[in-house]
Formats: sequence, C-alpha cells, structure tokens
Amino acid sequence: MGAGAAMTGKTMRMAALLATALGVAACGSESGQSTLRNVTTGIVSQLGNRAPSRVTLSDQAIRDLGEVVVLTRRKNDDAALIMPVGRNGTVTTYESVDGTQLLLDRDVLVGTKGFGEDITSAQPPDVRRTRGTALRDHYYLNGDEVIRRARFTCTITDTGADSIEVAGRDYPSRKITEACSSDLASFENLYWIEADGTIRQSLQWVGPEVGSLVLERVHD
Amino acid sequence: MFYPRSGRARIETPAGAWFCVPASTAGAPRCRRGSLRGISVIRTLSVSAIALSAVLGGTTASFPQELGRPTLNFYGVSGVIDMPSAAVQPDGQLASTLSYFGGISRGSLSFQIFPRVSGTFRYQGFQDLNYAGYEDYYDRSFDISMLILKESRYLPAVAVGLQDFVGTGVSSGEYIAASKTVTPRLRATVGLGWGRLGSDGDLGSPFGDRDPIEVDQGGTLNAEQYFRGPAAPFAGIEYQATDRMTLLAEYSSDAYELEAGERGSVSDAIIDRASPLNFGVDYRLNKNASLGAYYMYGSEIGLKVNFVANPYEPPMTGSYAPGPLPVQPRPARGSDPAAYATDWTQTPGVAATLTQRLAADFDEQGLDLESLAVDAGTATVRVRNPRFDAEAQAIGRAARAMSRVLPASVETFRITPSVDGMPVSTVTLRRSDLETYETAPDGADKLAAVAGIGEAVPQPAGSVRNAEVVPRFKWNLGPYIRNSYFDPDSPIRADLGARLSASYEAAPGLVFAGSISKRLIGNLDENKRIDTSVLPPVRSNFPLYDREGDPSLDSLTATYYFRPATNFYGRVTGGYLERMFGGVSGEILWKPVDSQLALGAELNYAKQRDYDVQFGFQDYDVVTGHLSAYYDIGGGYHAQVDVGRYLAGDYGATFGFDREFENGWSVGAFATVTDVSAEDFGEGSFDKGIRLRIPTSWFTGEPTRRAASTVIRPVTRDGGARLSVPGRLYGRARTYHESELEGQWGRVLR
Repeated sequence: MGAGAAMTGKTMRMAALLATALGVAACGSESGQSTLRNVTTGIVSQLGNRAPSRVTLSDQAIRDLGEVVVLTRRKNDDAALIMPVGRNGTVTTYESVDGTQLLLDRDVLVGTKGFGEDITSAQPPDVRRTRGTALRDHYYLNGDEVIRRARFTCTITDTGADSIEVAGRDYPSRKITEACSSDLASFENLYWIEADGTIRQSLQWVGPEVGSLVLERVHD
Repeated sequence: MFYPRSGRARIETPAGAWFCVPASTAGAPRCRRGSLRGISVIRTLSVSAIALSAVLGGTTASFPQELGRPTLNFYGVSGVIDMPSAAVQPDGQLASTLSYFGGISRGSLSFQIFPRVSGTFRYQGFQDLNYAGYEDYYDRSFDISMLILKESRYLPAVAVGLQDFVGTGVSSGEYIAASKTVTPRLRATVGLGWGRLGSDGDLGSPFGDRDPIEVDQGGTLNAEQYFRGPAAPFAGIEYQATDRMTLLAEYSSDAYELEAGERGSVSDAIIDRASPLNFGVDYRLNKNASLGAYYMYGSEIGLKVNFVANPYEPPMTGSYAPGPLPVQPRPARGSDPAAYATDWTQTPGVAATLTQRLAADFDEQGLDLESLAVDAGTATVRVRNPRFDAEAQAIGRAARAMSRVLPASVETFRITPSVDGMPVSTVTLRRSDLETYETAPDGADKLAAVAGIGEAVPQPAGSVRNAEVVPRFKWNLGPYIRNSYFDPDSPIRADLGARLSASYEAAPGLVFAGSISKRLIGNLDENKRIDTSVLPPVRSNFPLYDREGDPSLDSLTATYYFRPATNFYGRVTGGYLERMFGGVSGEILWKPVDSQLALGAELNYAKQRDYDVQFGFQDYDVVTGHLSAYYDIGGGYHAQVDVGRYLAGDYGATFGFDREFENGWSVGAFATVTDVSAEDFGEGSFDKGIRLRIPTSWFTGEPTRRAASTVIRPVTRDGGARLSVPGRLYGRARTYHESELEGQWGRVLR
C-alpha cells in the first residue's frame, strides 16, 4: 500500500505537470510565463528516484556562514542549510536556498512553509522547563482549506546527559524526550539542550507525510 | 544578522553555487544543491486509520487518507456491475467511468452533488446497432439518484434513482435499491427496477402501464413514465477480497432487448444475452484510478476503468511554493519612540520613494502595486494579484511587504484588490495585529477576527500610481486546444494550434485587447453537419466557423471597467466580442461586499461575424439583454437566474446551479427555457449543459490563477443562446468579497 500510495502522488503530479506544461508552454511579456521552466524542472525532478541532496560543506565552512542551522529530513536524508531571514519577537524565520521556510521559536519548531503538509502554526510545550505531561497543538490546513487543530498529549522526560557533535565541535547537553500521541498520530521529539538553554540539536516532527526534521544549530 | 532578501540568500562556495566537499559518511564526494523540494512522498497512514469523514466537519485536523469509495458500475453510478446500488460516493466526489462490452461503450461523469444526491451525465455508443436510422447509435443521458435511508446497524441503505430521465430514453429506467454491509468486506444489494431495469423477469406492473416514449427530439422529462410498467428484481454482491481487489457478482434485470435484437427489425443484435448473471473483478490501482474485468451476460467480456477525484483530497496538500517575506516588526514604542515620529511625511518626494520600494517588494511576492497613498497613520494600496488563486494569500503578502517598507508610524493598512483597474473591496488590517499573529498559534484565524473586509475605499488624495503597472502592454504566445463532442460522425474532435494575445491597459480600467489564433493540426473542420434550424443560425453553424475561420481573429475589444457608485460595478465593451459575434455590450452589477445576493443587468447589440472570423460581418444582428440574480446559498452552493432575450431573438430564462469548493473547484449545471418550442429548438428540446472548473494549483501544489474550465453541452442549437462576452462582472467583483476571502483565509499567512 505504501508503494502504491507513493506512486499516486507522483503519478498524479507527473500527469498534471505534463498537462500544465502544455497549458503554460507559452512565452510572453509577463514574468509569470516562466512557469514552463518551473514545470519542466518539476517534471525532471519527479522522474526516477533522485538521490537526496546533501549539505557538503566542511564543518569550518558551515561555521563561517554565521547564524545557520543544518536541516535534515529524517525520512530520506535530504539536507539543507537554513538561515534567518526575519525575526518577530522570539520567533525566527529561517529559509533555505529554494524558499522552504521554518519558523523556530527559540529553536522549537512552530511553523513550516513549503513542505506541502506544513504546520501552519503551533503551540508547543516549554521543553526547557516542563516535565511530565503537557499538551501540544499543531494547526494544519486541510483539503477543504480549513485550518484545524491537532492536539497531542505529550510526556516530557529528561533522559540524562548526552554529549553531541555538531559541525565538528562537541557540546555537552541533556537529552530531553517528548513522546506525543493522539488519535491521529504518535511521534517522539528529541532535544539536546545545553546548560544555558540553547537547543543545540533536535528531532522535531512535522506530519505523517513529511516526517521528522533534524535541526543542528551551528552557531553559538 | 539577516540575509538580504533580494534574490534570496545564496550560499556561495569558492567553487560556485554547488556544495562540494568530501562527504563525512562513506562514499565519493558529492556536488549537490541543497534543496528540500521535489522530494518523493511516501505516505504513511497513521497508527489508527481513520474514516474520510474526519476531514469534513469537526475541529480536529486529519491527514489525507486513501480515497474510499464504493464500486462504480458500468453506467458510472454507485453499483455492482450493470446494476445500481444504494451506496453513496463521498461528498463532492467527481468520478469518470469508461466501460465497454459487446460493442456498447459508455463514458460517464458522476458528481456527488450533496451528501445524499448524485447526478450523472453519460455518453453511450452502440456499435452497429442500426437503430433509428443510425448504424452506430450514440446517445446522451442524465441520471439522478438520492439516498433515502442511511445504512444503520440493522437497516440497509435505501436509494431511489432515475436513469436516463431526460432524453431519448434508450436507457431509461428507475430503481429502488437497498444495500447492506453484511460484513466489513461484503456488501449485498437487492433492488427493484422499472423501464430498462425491469425488462427481464418482471413481477408485474405495480403502478400501471408504461407508455412508449416518443423518441422525437429527446430532452423532455418523461415524468409520466417514472416507475410505471413492469418491475423486476435485481441483486448484487461486492466482496473486498484484498486491499485493492473487489470481487463482484450480480443478477441483472436488464433484458437488453434492443441490443439483443429482440425488438424485431428496429435494431440489429449486437450482444448475445445468454444469462442474467454477471461476474467481475475490480482492481484499485491507486487512490484515483481503478480497472475492472468482467464476464457479462454469459457471453461477453467487459472492461471498465475509473478515474476519480475529490476536491477535498488534492494529490498534494498545502503548498510547495517558496515562503513569503517575513513581517518586519517595529521596535517597541517604549524602547525607541523616535522611530514612531511622523515628520517623515514632510520629506519631499517621500510618497514616490515609498511607492517605488513597495512596488519592488510586491513584485518579489508575485503581486503588482497599482498605487499607494500614505499619511502619518494610514497606508492605502491598490494591488493586483496575477499569481495567487487563494485571494487571501495575496492580501497577506501585500501586508507583509507593507510592514517591511512603511515607516513605523503607519499603523493602519488598507489593502484594495484591483481587478483590471476596478477596485473591488478593501481589507483593513492593523499593523500591530499582523505583527502579533504572523507567528502566533492559530494566527490565521485570529487575524480573520480582527480584519475588516468592506467596500473599496475611494482613492485618497496624494495617491502615487506605479507607472510600471499602468499603463502597460502585455502579450502572450502559446498553444491552445479546442474540442467538440457528441457528433455521431466523430464523437470527439479537437484542434491544436497557436494563439497570440495582447492587451494594453491605457488607464486603470481601460483595456484594449485582442487575440489571434492559427490552427496547426486538428479535425474540427471535418464536421460536415448541415444546419437544419428554423431559428436564425446563431450557434448551430459553428462547423462553418471551425472550417473557414483559420487563422482567426478570436477577439478584439476595448473595455472600460468602472465603479459608478458604492456597491455598483459597471462595464462597457465594444468590438469583436467572440468568434461568432461582434458588437457592443454594457453591464451593471450591484453586489455589496458582504451580500449573498447580487443583481445585474446587461444589454448588448450583437452582429454576426463572417465565417472566416476576420473583420467582416454578416447581415444578422440582434439586441440581447438579461436581468440576472445571483445567490450564494451557503455551503458552497450558488444559484443564478438570468431572464431576457437571447441571440436568436427568443425570450426566456436560464437557471444555473453550481457547487463551488473553497479551493476553486466548481461543478455545476444550467438549463435555458425560452419561448422557442421543443420542435423549433430541434434535437435536445432545450439548451442545457454541465460546467466544470478545476484550478491548476490543485494538481501542482504551487499557486497560480490558471484553471481548466469546460462546458459540456449535449447539443449545440440556436435556442437559448447567450452572447459570450469576455469580462462579465460577477466573476470579477466577487473574487475579493467576504465570502471568497474567508473561503481560503487559511492561506493568508502563507
């Protein structure tokens, strides 16, 4: 069923892109006419199983970029670098080269844009201080264009000291586990939190389709 | 530290735009561009698979599930193999079915109009039937069915249906069916059929005799026939053997008298009905497609393929497009009061500078800034949206750009969407609300609560117009496809060609536009049907236009859109309005921003164009006009009534009913009744059709205002024909009104 379902999205998208290509195979004075290029790129990227992209800069080169987070999609190891492009209160908007955005509220994920099944907004518990049971709210846009809330019951536990390596440097931290479940889904988020509260590395869940994202904070 | 937004942050290495380095994991060095898009999606179902009903209604989120649906039969309705059942398809589902056995091909389009009511349009071909003067007989039919009783623990689902209830009646039948899910994998159906469905093994005529249909022109409701005549039982079983495979068996009450040659010399025999039993297997390929193979009536092999789509279940949810510019919050008033000073308004040329900077940001967001008016506390923009099909998304992106450019003292944003220079509403937002809710939980809904949607505000004094948007010349060269259906000589014809279109907007609302097309390949010109209409041939001679109109001047118009008064919209158009007619058209529409009702009046003078679709005209001219009422019933259902005079000089009314979905899908039907009698109208008796609109963004997951629209008319005749004027007001005015903005408000912060 999984493989068939994978083919569904892919086949439909292919067919649609081909049909759209005919519709947009046009040139003209408007910048919107470059849709053909986007559509063609889309078709090419759907053909075959493309190897996942990797971030292949040396650790020092990444560090030199400044305030950067390394983002890896757990499901297929697709990786990218994201950088801050905006700050509103405690929430920073990070963006990758192709425009995919993550909204992080002091390193905790509260929104995504560009994954398809995006978290439009979220109210996570305070993983730095809360222990035991807590509630987590995710808001998703459904197929009928209505944003609905998914509420999870989570158990947050401190599983002890754990030293991790990010971009060639070691960081002593404590590993916090947030195990969440609801009728719809269950997942586990992990946070490696340093003594000063910085979440150096984390594994945070977005949705059933997207899966979990690994975030590694490179800068201090 | 922030990265500049223009051109997006690029991570350049000495080697160029690619990341190249020895990989830390085993393997050769790789050079790849970091990207998270175009990722193959592996859908995993959640731990407990949930019914599709979780998507509709309720406040909890749900994730896309497999498209569940009962089997569709050879007629394209919920059923077993040839017989119907009482199972209903999911609400809003659009299903197409292609089936074939024994020389009988059927193409059907079914739509679940309401949760309990489904409608179907079908085109059938009977090869070598030799009936009614045609060797291959083609027939169009409409079905409707309704669920009377929902299935419960002890009771079955019960449905009533009319098959081919408007038309020449070759497939006419009525039925009552009851279906019960005996076990989770087994559904059993029994029913009673009349007409074609009561022709084999009848138990008598409980409601009296059935008069033979007068085949005539078709198109009339044969109401006195329904449920009359012999009634015969049918039954069927559907067994879901595996996740993808369903086994089917049924006992059919359709004797296929016509097709088995049992009506004497009326028709030839094309099938051999050796047995009333049918068997088959239906295999689900994926969420949207399935195939079936069958053994029909003891003698024929049957095949069926289904393509199904549900507007509520897009192939990919959400959007894959790049994210918006982040909101730029202002410093806290307490910490930096100087930033909120208002003396910037005294700077000479500040309005022009701000307009320029805002235009650049709008451009990057995919919007066009038409004008900006700004004072110490309020900014009013007129914005055009060429990209986002979710209009609320355009509003949100405009607000974001404004937060990045305008000085801190400007607290109120008034965003006026403009459609071709005609302002249609104003959305008022407080900048503080935007800053608060951009990243807050449930931010979009919270912003909806404080956003004001009202009538378009007049342009304030001191407005600076963006000269790059108006005046502007645009052109476009691209392919086009045109098709024509249901001619018995060739049921599907198409042309493929190139079309060059251009437009020049001289001032806001004043547009000159034209379009020329040239066919490259196609067979639309092979239509040799001669017009036999007693009415002036206003539409029925379209084959002549298809044949001689190449290259063709599709349209050449001058249009002026304006706002005569509050809540009123106006349009005047002149020139070559469509392929068959030119002339002058004027229209007025009354539609307040928050109103469910809209009223309009249109008056046209039309002159028929020459068949070569160039600059010449024929002698025929006519004054046409309509009074229209548009009503948004709620729940996505819309009704429209137009009363007036049509192109052939006939008077009458058109009734339209559409179901629109928030994401831009629309499925509807229309019918026109005029003082032209059924005999004068000709085949079909009255003008009717189905219209369908599917937004392209539903397929691709990227915003675009393009959509695939089509109108399917079983017959094109001259009665009830309306002038096809481009730019009618209702569609334009309503796009940024309350109902439409609220419909996709979920994307305002996207």
